[in-house]
Parts: sequence; structure tokens; C-alpha cells
Amino acid sequence: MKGRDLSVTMKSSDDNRPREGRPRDTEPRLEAGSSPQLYWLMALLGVLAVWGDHYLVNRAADYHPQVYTPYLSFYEVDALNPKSPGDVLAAKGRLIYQNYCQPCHQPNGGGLPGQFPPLAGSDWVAVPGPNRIIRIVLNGLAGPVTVNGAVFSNAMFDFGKSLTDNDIAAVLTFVRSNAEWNNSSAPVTPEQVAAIRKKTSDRGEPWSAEELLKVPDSD
Amino acid sequence: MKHGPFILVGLLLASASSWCGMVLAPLVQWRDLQPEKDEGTATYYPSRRSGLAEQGSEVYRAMGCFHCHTQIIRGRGLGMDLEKGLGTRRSVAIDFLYDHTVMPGETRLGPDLANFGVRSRKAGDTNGALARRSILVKLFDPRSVNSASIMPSYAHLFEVRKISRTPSPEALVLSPGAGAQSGFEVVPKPEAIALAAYLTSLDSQKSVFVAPVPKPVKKGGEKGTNASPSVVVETHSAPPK
Amino acid sequence: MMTTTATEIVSTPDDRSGEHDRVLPGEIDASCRWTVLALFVGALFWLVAASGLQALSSVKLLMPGLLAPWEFLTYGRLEGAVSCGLVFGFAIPALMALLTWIQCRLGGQSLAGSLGFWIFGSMWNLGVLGSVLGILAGDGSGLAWFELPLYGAAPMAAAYIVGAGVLLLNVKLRAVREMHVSQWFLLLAVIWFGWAFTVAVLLNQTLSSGLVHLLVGYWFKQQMFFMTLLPGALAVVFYVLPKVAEAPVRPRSLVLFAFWTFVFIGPWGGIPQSAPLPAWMVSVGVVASTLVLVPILATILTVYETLGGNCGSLRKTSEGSLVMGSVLALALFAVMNWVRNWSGVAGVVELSVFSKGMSLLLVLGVCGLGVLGGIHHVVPKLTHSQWLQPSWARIHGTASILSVAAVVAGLILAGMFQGLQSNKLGSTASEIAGAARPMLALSALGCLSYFLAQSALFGAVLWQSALACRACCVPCLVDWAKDQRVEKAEVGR
Repeated sequence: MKGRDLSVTMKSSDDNRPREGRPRDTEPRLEAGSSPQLYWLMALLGVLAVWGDHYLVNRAADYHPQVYTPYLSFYEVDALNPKSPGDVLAAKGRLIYQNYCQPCHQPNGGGLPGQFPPLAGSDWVAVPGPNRIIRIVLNGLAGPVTVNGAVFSNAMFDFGKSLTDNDIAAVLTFVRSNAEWNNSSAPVTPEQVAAIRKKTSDRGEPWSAEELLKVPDSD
Repeated sequence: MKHGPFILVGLLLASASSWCGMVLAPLVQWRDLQPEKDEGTATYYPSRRSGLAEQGSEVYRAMGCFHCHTQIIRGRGLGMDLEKGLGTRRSVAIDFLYDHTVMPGETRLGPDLANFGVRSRKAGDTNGALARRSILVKLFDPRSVNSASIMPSYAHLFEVRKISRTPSPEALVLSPGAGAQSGFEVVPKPEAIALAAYLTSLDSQKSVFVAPVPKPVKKGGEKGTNASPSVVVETHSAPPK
Repeated sequence: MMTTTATEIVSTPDDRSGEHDRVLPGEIDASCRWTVLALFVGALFWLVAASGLQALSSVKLLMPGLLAPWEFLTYGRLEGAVSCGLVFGFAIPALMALLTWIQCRLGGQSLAGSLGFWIFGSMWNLGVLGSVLGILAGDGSGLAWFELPLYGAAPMAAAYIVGAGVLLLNVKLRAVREMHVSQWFLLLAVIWFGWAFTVAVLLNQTLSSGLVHLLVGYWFKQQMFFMTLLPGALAVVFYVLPKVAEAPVRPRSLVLFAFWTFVFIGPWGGIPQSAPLPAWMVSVGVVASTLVLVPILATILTVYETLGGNCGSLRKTSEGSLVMGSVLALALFAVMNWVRNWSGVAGVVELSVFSKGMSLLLVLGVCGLGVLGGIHHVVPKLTHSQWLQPSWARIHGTASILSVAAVVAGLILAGMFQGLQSNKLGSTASEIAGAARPMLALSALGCLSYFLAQSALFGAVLWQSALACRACCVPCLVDWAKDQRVEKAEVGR
């Protein structure tokens, strides 16, 4: 209490002298060496980094500034923001394409050589009217077909039962007006699909290419 | 100098990269951010506040209101803000485009105010005058409106004065027992009027490109597949990319 | 990268360049005695003032009618003044003072340029005074945890550049070239804060753009809390802890790994899930707050290894238990900071007093307890006397830890109850506040006892300084008077 331990000059004191119950006043050192925990931590960091990368791939939406949670991609946001009736359909059509068409025709619409015909730049798509391709989607297509000069011999399912008129119009609009694929044909309306569905309602089998070529592409 | 330069270079690298990533990069991404035009009503969102409301936001800042009130609506999957009707969509950066001081807040000791202007306006209150009156009463004596309220009284934003020959048209209509004794009236100071104008101007319900407000599907339309969006939204002009 | 760093930096034990130039500890203490003590007194004054205001504001939350007529004591203004006082008034200058003393001791050098620290201390404290009064008068900037008005922030930035510059000069002039862990973290905290603070002052208080404010607000809070207060506290911990435990910090590779991973991961976090920012920024924040668990785990393992598993040895001294409290707070903070982003948790705790609890866990817990531990360690050496009553020091340490625990636990639990209640459809604002009320009362109790404990510490430090001053001055005066007498006698003869 009364200046205990208080040296008079305050300069010549021995700080290394241990006081009662107090540790010695030597400066701390850093001891070299490694530890097995370091490798565990590095492994943990590696695992977490892999997880983080995965998380960012899933959640960061390609670092797009216009995607906020809970949306996961710009297309999802864009699809909710139609600008014209054709864009509404095309935006919706992109999602339908991803679910139904992409496995065969591929994300870039290029198809697979020798197996599935392309849609990007296809001479079946780039015609004034959609009458033939509506029929293909409704009832499917079987047998050889020539697209851009190449022959494909495979079968396409019928989607008439699983997709509504609006869905079919949407996906065909997406395909026909897709600027990324260099397609620039007019949109397809649900009414056009409904008319053809009604006309061909008794047809129970897929079309063949020859039959379709007899149908005029536009009314 | 042992390791000194090495540590300095490392620190420089780390701080510069995080600064570029978390401040510079989003600013570059937003460099062209503009108000969005609503094609339907030909109005822009966000629009600049009125001068009075702008003064009111200064009072909001000076009072530290943001310590208890947020102006953030969280989206689907985080809290229940949309389900509770606090807003029609989540808050996004463009909501703060014209704010001089951004006060999103981080704690809700009182209710969220992001859409207070919409919420406070009852049917028939066309110019918001009734909403401004009721918020002034709440500011003067919060517990006369809700006895359980923990909001502080902002009585210092009001003047209690003797009623002269004609009572002031702006004087508050207080419930009996609250406010001043008979012969006196409670008149809001300019700060209180500005604050009320600011609070009743708060509205972030407008649909924007990055957070479109869903509208119910019209009856009798298409049935929709699992891939189709089940909502139709307002149309917008193309936003800056 | 980390392994090459390890081999580069590890030196042989006999490499002790400059060891012979080492100044004796007593001389070092004498060289920085008054500078460091003055900074401590200023910092503790702000700690007492801020924790007093905090106690008042936490009581006002329970009794909204208390002191209602005083405009400058409304809750919103009190909170701004509290955050300013705690961080800028207490934490930053106290860290500067502690780090200066630690640097002199570790570098084996006398303090150079103490005038710079006096300039820093006086300008900085004036800036804080202006800021706190300004906030109470309604001039706060409106940015949570950075409410300094420009007229307070600008002199503070200038003062900091002077203070940090002199401290870095001291680091450069050190006699012992080999750097201890504390000095790494010292460099991190001092340099990082200078950068973040000046940038934030320039961008946030001079430019008026909503989007810049929004981003810089989140960024600055993370840089200040996570990259300044936290490493500053670690610098103190890695100095006091090995000293109290009388064991070297080990192993070097582990703490080196912790340091560099922390530096590169830490600054990326801090974006809350509710922030009105694009998904990628929130996601980066989530990943950073998860990855940063690794460096913090490495830090805690280093502490464990240093103690050799014998944590009980720390409890013998007050500084040991305070520093240990800081380490435990760090562990808790890291875990909570990770858990709060889980999808089920974020929807409950976001936008509640939980976030305030987390901020205070860092400011009062990790940083505050570490700094108090440092003060307990340093003040007796500077004033050359033990604490008046060693048992009082232990009581103060325990009281501080318990109070911080009550404040933080109260707020965190209150936030959870508040969030659960507010996620019920149809719950009103007063029901939500009511759900949090009992825990807010606990927190208020903690604030009150924290205020009392720190007032006692402030008084003790003042008393110790006064004793030291007397011990220093009285002999001088006696000598001087003797000389005078002798002179007079000579003249008279």
C-alpha cells in the first residue's frame, strides 16, 4: 500500500527478480517446430476450400450484380421480368428447354453429330412458319431426316401430352428467336399450337420427315 | 530488417485484394445503375425525396433512429418479412440509390420502416395527412398509442404552448390524459414535421428488375408446368447490364 | 505457400542478432512510462464514460420513460456515443499504448519519438471528445459503429497517422531483429486500421452516394472489428500469455499458419445475410466466415500448446485469467459467426439484438478483456509497484469477465427469443420486444457491473500513476531543494 516495491530512483531495479507469486519478467520467446495438428488444419482448410468453391459455384450466380437471393441465376431473374409477349414466352421457354430438350439437342442447340440434329441455324427452324415443328413437338418424329444437309436417323418423343399449348409455344419461341444461336424467326403463339393440336388430335404416331415436308410451313 | 518487408508486402496484398473484391468490384458493377422506369405508369423508381422528407431523413439520422429501426426487408427463405406483409419484395441496393446517408440498420427493437409510408396510410387518406398526424402523436407520446411500446418519447420535437385566441391548426389531437394540461396545445416543431414527412415517404414496394413483385395468376389461364413461373409480373424497361 | 514461408522465417536458435544491444527492461519502462500511462488514463476514461452511458442506455430500453426530457440522452444518441467511446475512445488508444510498450520490450529498445505519441494521444482524444459530444448533440454520421462526425474523424485520422507512424518507426529501430508473434499481429492491426480508417473517412464522410455508403459501411465494420481489434487483442495475448505461463509460444509453424491464413481470409467476411447486396457478396461472406474458423482454431491450438494443456496455471494471476477470457471469447465468436449463417439460424437471429451481442462480444470480450489483461500486466511494471491489493486485481478480472459474459449472453439470447417471436405470423412489435425483455435485463445488469468494475480500475490506475509520480518527483524535488540550499549557502559564504 505505501509504495511497496517502489524503488527510489526507479531506474536501477532488477526486473528479473521473481516477486512473491509473480512470474519472472523475461520476454516471451517463440519456439520453432512443427506439430501434427498443422497438417490436420491444412487438410481442414483444403476441405473447406473445396466446399467454399462448391458453395460459390452454386450460390454466387457467376458474380452477377443483378442476382439477389433467393434467386440463383440471372436467367431466373430475367425470366420473371418479361419485356414483350414474345420475351415472356422465350424466357419461360428457356426453362422448358433446359428440362425437356437440352439432353438431346444440347445446351448450345447444336445437337450431336450423327445422333441428334441441331436447332441452332437449322433449316427446319429458320422457316417463316412454325407448322412443321409444332407437329414434331406434339407427336414426335421417327425415321431419317435431313438437317442442313446431314442425315439423322433417330426418334424424338412426343411432348403433346406432357406440355401445354403455352409451354410448346414458349419453347418453340425460345428456339426460333434465340439470338445466341443465330436464330431470328418470329415467335410462336399458343393459338397456333392449339389449332394444330386440334387438327391432328386423332394422330397417334410420330411424324416422318416426308409427311412433314408435304405440310406447308405456314398457313 | 528481418521479415519486416515480407510482412508488409503480405499485408498490402491481402488488404488490397479484399478492398478490390468487396468494395471496388461491386462499385464497378453498379457504375451504370439508374432508376428503373415503370412502363405502366411512366414513373421512375427510386425517385428523389421531396425537400421536406430529405430534411426529415437528417432528423432520423440525428436522433439515431436506425439503432432500433431497420429499413431492410428480407427475401423468401430468410425470416418471415414477406409473409408478415412488411413488404412485397426483398430490399436491394437500388433502394438506397438516392439516400445521402444510408441507414439500413441492423437491429429491430421497433418495427421495420422500409414500407412505413405505405403501411401507415389508411384507405381514404389520399394525401397522407392523416398518417402524418398519427405518427406525430406517436412521436410525442408513444405510450399513449400503445402502452407496451418501448420507444422513447420525442417530446423535444414539439412545443407545448398556451393556446392563443385561435388554436393552431397543426396542434396534435391527443387522447385525454396524454399531453398538456387544459389551455395548452402541443404544436410540432419543423423537425417533427420533416421527420413525419420522411417516415410517410418510405416506400420500397415497387417492383424492380432484380426483385420483381409477383402478382397472382389470372384465373382461367394456362395450367402451367413445373418449369413455368407461376406468376406474371409488371413490365419494365430493360435495366442496365 | 505457407510451408515455404515457414522455412524462410524460422531461424536458428543461436541467431540472436542485436541481443547485446538490448536495453534493460527497467530502462525501457522508464522511457515509455509517462507516455503509455497517459494513453492508458485517456483510454480508461473513455471506457468508464462509454460503459456508464451503455448502462444508462440498456436501462432505458427497459424503462423508456427514464430521463425522457433530455434530448441528448435518447436511446439512439446514447448508443452512438457508446459505440464511439468503446471503440475509438477505449480500444484503439489502449491497444496503441499496449502495443507500443510490448514493442519496446520485445525489441529491447527505449521508446523513440515519444512526442509523436503525445501528439497522437491529445489530438485523438480531442477528436473522440468532439465526436461523442457531436453524436449526443445530433451530429452523428448515421453509419452504425462509425458515427464520428467529420470534424471529429478528420483530426483523429491525422492523429492516427502520426501515432502509427512513430510506432512503426519504433518497430524499424528495434534492437532485437527477430520478431515475436505479437509483433506480427501488431503490424497487422496498426497498418490495417490506418488504411481502413482513412479510406472510410475519405469515402463515407466526404462523398455522398448511397451505394458507396452501403458498401463501405459493411466493409469498414469488418476491417475495424475483425482485422484491427481482433489481431490487436491477439498481439497482447501472445505477449502476456507466455509470460504468465512462463513458457515459449509454440510451435512456430502453427502460429505462422494461423497468421497468414487469417490475413488472407479475414477481410472478406462481414456481409450479413440480410444485407441488400447481390447474392455473390453474401455468399463470399458466408464462405469467408466459415474458412476463418481454421486460423482461429490454429490460434487456439497454439495457446493450448503454449500452456502445455495446463490452463489452470493462468488463474493464479488476474492478467492470466483476463487473457484467457479473451481467448475463450474469440473461440465463441468464431463459432457463433459461423453458425449465424446457417440457413435455419440466419432467419432467426438476423436483424435482432443478436448482431449487437456479437459486436460487443468482439469489442468487450475478445478485445476488451485482452486489453484489460494487458493493462493489469503493464501498469504495475510502469508504476514500479504491485497493484494496491493483488486480490483486488483478481476480483476486478473476474468481475470484468462475468460482466462481459452477462452483457453478451443477454443480448445473444434476447436476439434469439426476439427472432423466434418475430417469425411468428401476426406477432406485434411490442410482443417481439417483450420476448427479449428478460434477457435484456440480464444484459443491463452486466452493463452496470462492468461500469462499476471499470470505474474501480480507472481509479486504481490513477492512484498508481499518482504514486509513481510522487516517487519520481519527490526525490528530484528533494535533490533540487538541497542543491538550492547548497547554492544559497555558497552564495551566502
